[in-house]
Amino acid sequence: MDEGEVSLMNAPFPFTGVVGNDLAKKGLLAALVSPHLSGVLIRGGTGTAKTTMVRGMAGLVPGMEVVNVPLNVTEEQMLGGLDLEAVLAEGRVRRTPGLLERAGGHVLYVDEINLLTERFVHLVADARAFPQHADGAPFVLVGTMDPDEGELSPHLMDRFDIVVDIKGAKDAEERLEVLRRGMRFLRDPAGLLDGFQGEEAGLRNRIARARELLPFVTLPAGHAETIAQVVLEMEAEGSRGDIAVARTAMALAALAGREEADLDDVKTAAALCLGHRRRPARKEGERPTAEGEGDPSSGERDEAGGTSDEVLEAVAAMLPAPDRVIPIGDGMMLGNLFANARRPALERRHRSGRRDRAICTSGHGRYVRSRLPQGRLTDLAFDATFRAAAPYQFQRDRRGMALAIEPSDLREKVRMDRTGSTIVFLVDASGSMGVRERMGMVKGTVLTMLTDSYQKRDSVGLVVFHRESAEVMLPPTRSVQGAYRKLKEIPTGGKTPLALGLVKAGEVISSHISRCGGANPSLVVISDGRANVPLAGGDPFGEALDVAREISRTPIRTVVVDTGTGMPRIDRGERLAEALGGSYLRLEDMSSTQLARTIRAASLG
Amino acid sequence: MKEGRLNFPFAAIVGQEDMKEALLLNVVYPMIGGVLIRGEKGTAKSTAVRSLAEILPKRMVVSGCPYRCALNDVDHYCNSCRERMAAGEVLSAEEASMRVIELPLNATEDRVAGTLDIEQAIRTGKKRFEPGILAMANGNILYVDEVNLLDDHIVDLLLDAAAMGVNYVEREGISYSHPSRFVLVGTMNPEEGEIRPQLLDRFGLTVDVSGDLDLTRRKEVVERRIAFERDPEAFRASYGPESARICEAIVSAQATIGKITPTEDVLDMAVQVSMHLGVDGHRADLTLVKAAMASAAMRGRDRVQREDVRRVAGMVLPHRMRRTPFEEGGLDMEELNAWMRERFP
Repeated sequence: MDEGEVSLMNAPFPFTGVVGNDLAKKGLLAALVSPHLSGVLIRGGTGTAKTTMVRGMAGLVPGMEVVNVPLNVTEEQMLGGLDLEAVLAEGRVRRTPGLLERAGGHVLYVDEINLLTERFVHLVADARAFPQHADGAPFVLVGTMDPDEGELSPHLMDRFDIVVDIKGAKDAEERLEVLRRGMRFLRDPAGLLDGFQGEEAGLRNRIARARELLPFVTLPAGHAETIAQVVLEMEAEGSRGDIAVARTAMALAALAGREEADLDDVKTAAALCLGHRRRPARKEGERPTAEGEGDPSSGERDEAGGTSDEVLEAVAAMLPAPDRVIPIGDGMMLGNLFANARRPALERRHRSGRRDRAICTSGHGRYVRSRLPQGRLTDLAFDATFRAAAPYQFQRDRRGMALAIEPSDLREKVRMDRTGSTIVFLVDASGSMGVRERMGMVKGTVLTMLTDSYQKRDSVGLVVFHRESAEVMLPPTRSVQGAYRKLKEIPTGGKTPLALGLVKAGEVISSHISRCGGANPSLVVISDGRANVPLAGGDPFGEALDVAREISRTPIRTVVVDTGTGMPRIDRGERLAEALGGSYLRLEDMSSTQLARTIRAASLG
Repeated sequence: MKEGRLNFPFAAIVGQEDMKEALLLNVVYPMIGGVLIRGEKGTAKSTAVRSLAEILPKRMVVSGCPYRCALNDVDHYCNSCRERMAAGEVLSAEEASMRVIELPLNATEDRVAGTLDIEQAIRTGKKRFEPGILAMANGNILYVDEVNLLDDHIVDLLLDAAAMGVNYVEREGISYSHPSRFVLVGTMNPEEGEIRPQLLDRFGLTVDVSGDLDLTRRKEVVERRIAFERDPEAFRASYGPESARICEAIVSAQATIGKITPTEDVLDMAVQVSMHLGVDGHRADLTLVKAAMASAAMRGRDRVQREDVRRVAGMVLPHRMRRTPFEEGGLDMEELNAWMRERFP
């Protein structure tokens, strides 16, 4: 990094000392060898040695360091800008390099990359894809994340050629070895480092040789075809997958000291590059797993001696079982409904940010960039203000100070916060919902959405109506666990006071917003719409529609999940959705596919 | 260093043995990774943490270092200490107390991570880093009351620093890093919301505290509190010898822990216990061993025994049981104890 900036870290845990995690290690090494690979993303739970592995990369290539992107990074800092000191001292305009430039030739490491704003992830990936300075070496992009804290969207994931899921060691002996080495490193780091010195040196040599060899490595035509077939069969999106597999296979061959990539390289490369590119759940249970993908006709033998089937099987064995992907995908599908809700006025207002990123006007949130003050200035961006003032300092009367600042120099901070939205579930618990499976489905749906809400830092509330009353079972809270517990306790039976439920839900949302703030309130109504308890003595359903139209005049976005089943279908759910100005969907439509599976997996009800 | 208000003496806290033990283990061996104390209001959580100031031992730090780098821990020196050393300076020592640094809930990002020294920039045109709370916390205890209510972006900062032991700052024209190795202590009332799992996992230990049901002890709590409020100085003085004794015990345990090498049997037990409970990740195994070492040291032994693992299991494991946001964590201590007694008598 910068001159004079001594690496703070004491020697990291040696890369070769990390137990297991072979696939992830191969991915990281491939990226060190091939300058063409766009980046490596490692996904795994806490305490699975993700960070240890990445930090161990320092020094595997002589002079290469691991440069951290802290989560508090600002945009100006990332991209570089005017060198304040140079302007003031010498009156010369000089650029100071940003973090992305300073990382050239090093590993650029973003820990918890899923917590960085989407815009920043793009900035990093763009800088990797289109280096600003042709002469500078590109950086090796490595990200790590814990999927429990939220997913990275597929298009961001696609910007990484290699994505690896890792898990902690399962086997007791392996685990014991991890612990032994961990304790050793804690008590006697020099001793442990000594023990791995030979292996580390060997690996350094292997990488150096591979880097030299890579330009001469070829991919036999037969393998290229196999790659194309595998990519097609896995329904990976776009052609980035093909290219990534080819590049990775060649890097792996170079690491093995071979001038030609072989079928094993292709298998490993496919496992590294295609897992995240599989199209999400195309047909029920038809993911290309070992048992799911058994059609022999697709397995044409190519001249290199491997079949795409063979590769697929190998890849499937290396990739984690896809079961946990499904509920998340489901949640996303439901979550997206809010975006499609028919609320043009609202959409215009919310276009500027993602659902989970709100620009804040108070002094809270992360400082991401600066701008000219909009209105009264309360949150001064000192750095940007100084930079704006700097070029004029030689003309201004500085009155003994280093800086004379004029109103036109002032810049304010743009802050962002992951405040999340407020989502209130209004659940019909009347007798008509009492059919066990249907309530189970409802709970499953809500649970799926709760996962999504949790990851997006939403506040979730639960209002239940049945018999003569509507009850706030859970005021909006970020304690999703609380919501989950309440969900399990929902009683069913009695009549359907829909209008009252809507009133209550509206109250809950507005009082929460006025107390706690928060953007994007949403209401999810889960009911069959068969209202039979009036609010003010009128037609029960007519009254419900009146309340719904009231709600439609507020910024609350709505989704109606119609739980009605069978024929003849009554259109009450649709009419309710129309009155609310929200989206409409039928529980029945989803029950046969992913939803039922979600519910089973969650073993609810 | 501010000494605004007088703390209730640690030695005068009645009962709550688990909480006191968890705090002391961390003081003895900061590598354990801190403690999260969960409990209702009025269970002496904050009192206990703040009262630690009283019994924290002195430590030797590099003289003149803004981050109070530990003199004998060259591996974790800050840049300025490194540069001084590289320039051939023989660093001298000064004594500093380990302190409790509070991170208030309303702290801004600038305040926590540190930022551009504005005054310096205007007066001299030079960029200089103004250290924040994470800098003050280096080598100390970082205490967050109501840690579950902390803003997300501040939690991110904490996670970064806790994971790396370093605070990296890339903001306001400043590109800077400094050591930030602290014992993270949090207190929370679970009724007010959950804590982010990632932050939860960073805590080495958790203890749940509840109000004491024993009448005699309850009476004792009230009496001591009233005596303290009536005359804090005198009350503290009356616990002076006891406080000094605890402080000495800490110092001697700190010396002992350097001599402990965990046996293969203890390592195996740690792994088996974690696996028995289905705890993923390797942090649980490591923390079990570290806490057991501190527990042995506190008892004046330089050998870790199975009983040490048994004693700390209830603090290391409860918060690691949960694998998804919805699975209800819960550690059946009776079952675990029975299993441990049978498997590792």
